[in-house]
Amino acid sequence: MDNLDKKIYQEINTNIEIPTMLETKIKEVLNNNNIENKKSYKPWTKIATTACATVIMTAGIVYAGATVYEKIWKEPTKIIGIVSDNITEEDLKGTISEIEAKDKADEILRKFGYTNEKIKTMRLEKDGDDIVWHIETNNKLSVSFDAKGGEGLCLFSDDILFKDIHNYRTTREEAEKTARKLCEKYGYNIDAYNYVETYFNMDTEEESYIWYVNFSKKPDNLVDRYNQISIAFVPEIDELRYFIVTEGKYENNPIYITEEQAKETALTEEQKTNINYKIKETNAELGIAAMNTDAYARTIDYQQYCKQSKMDYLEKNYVVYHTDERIRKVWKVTIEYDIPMEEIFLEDSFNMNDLGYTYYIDATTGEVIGGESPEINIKAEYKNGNLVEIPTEEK
Amino acid sequence: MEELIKKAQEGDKEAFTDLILQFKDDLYKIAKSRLKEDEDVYDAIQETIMIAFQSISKLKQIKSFKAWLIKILINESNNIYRKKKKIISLNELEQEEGIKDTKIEYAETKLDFNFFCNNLKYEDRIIVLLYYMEQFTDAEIGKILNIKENTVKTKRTRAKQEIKNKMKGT
Repeated sequence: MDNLDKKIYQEINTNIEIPTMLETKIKEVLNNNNIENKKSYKPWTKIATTACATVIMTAGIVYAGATVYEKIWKEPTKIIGIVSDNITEEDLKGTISEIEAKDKADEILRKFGYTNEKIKTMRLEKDGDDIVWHIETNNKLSVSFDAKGGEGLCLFSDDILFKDIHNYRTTREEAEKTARKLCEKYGYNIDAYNYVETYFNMDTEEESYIWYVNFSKKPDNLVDRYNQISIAFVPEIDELRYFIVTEGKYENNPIYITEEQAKETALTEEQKTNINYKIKETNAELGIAAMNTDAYARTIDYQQYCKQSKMDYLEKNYVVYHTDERIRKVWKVTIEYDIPMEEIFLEDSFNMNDLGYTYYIDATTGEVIGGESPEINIKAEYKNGNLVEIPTEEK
Repeated sequence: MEELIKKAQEGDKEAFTDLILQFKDDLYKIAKSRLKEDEDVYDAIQETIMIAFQSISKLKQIKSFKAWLIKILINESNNIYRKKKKIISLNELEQEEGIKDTKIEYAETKLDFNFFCNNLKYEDRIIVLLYYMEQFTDAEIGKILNIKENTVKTKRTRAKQEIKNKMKGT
């Protein structure tokens, strides 16, 4: 053990205040007291916030044969600091009334067989630019739905976790069948959702007693996670843990941009970050993505983009951008940099954002309409005193 | 503690709650290293308690209770983190290395909880916390995080070098 180890051991437990509320929160779990459902699952696909106040109108157009496609990306609005979650008069426009919301909630509870549930609380909540009705019942059921009449739905049962459920088992194959059966029972036609993912709550199937199945649409063989039904349940008794319906307006735009054009656009955009490493590879695949401002924020001010990823970065200093909500067919172009292992693992100045980035290039207009941090996993180990990357097959 | 675990395995909720309270500080710190908001930390811990209580009768090795509990907590924390992650939200990006613009001498830098949260990415941070704060071995950490022991060693080496360099402010 060296001096640094000693220093870490001595100081790591300092300067953290444990909130007094924690003990209360722990005690209430198994006492069957009501737990406020703070979950914020988003059944609707308004991932990008709405209403960009256009600063510059782009008048560009894209020609594709005889058809003219107008460019869709507009200069985003910039906001400093986190947007408030207070509901304004403007937000309330177009929302259904409390009476209508109660009727809808009652209908949902009936549809899902919760005939004995009584609504305990109802409130409007703001989630980004979405307004939702959030309802809680006397038996720890929560239901959320779009306050403006959309079909998205989020139903959660915390009560099930208090029951003696840990002995119920099933297999992956049976879990999918059960999930299908339950969706149909609740009036959802699963036929259109032909991409299925299944997982479970414990480390292994054999130990698990809560199963999760996601059904996504797959237009033109592209997985559309913005149009999805997600169900979590306890097998054998077929009781729900949650049921989430996400419905997005996928525009199914045509492909007029080639893979090579998309890559070129992404590479040109990436140059703005002035990351000086050599590029290892650039890959592209078609996908469905929601427009966002992540790529815009990254290239317009890369230093700020990295700074505000820190946990203690002051919210009042955040720089946030707003854009329209559009779900489009895109080329997802991933740029990965070629960086020596020693630099990744041992260099102080190395920034994980430099590993690479995935751009969304609109498949019709060729514009950069968003992006995300890619899943680039690099693992290394010491062999003969040198740090070497573990090849992909062994990861 | 062994007594409490045995009682909890027989369904004694009070015993299980007392058991959890013994680890509340550790649970808070582990969850907080992943989740920024205290409300999310409470959610992660409450979910962990419910799952752990229902599964504790299956726990074979009583001495590995803490590691088992923390593993569930890390999974639940990650679940909440992923569910809250928004594509365009800049404040949901992974923790990255910060930009140091002041030079601080080695002996003066306090290597407290906040230092690690601000200066290490999550993957490295959780390993440092589990090793130095919870005093798990590399093998135990590997089991908790579902990664190879060698990978734990490598990341710990990297993290320690990073800490050293951060302290020098280069």
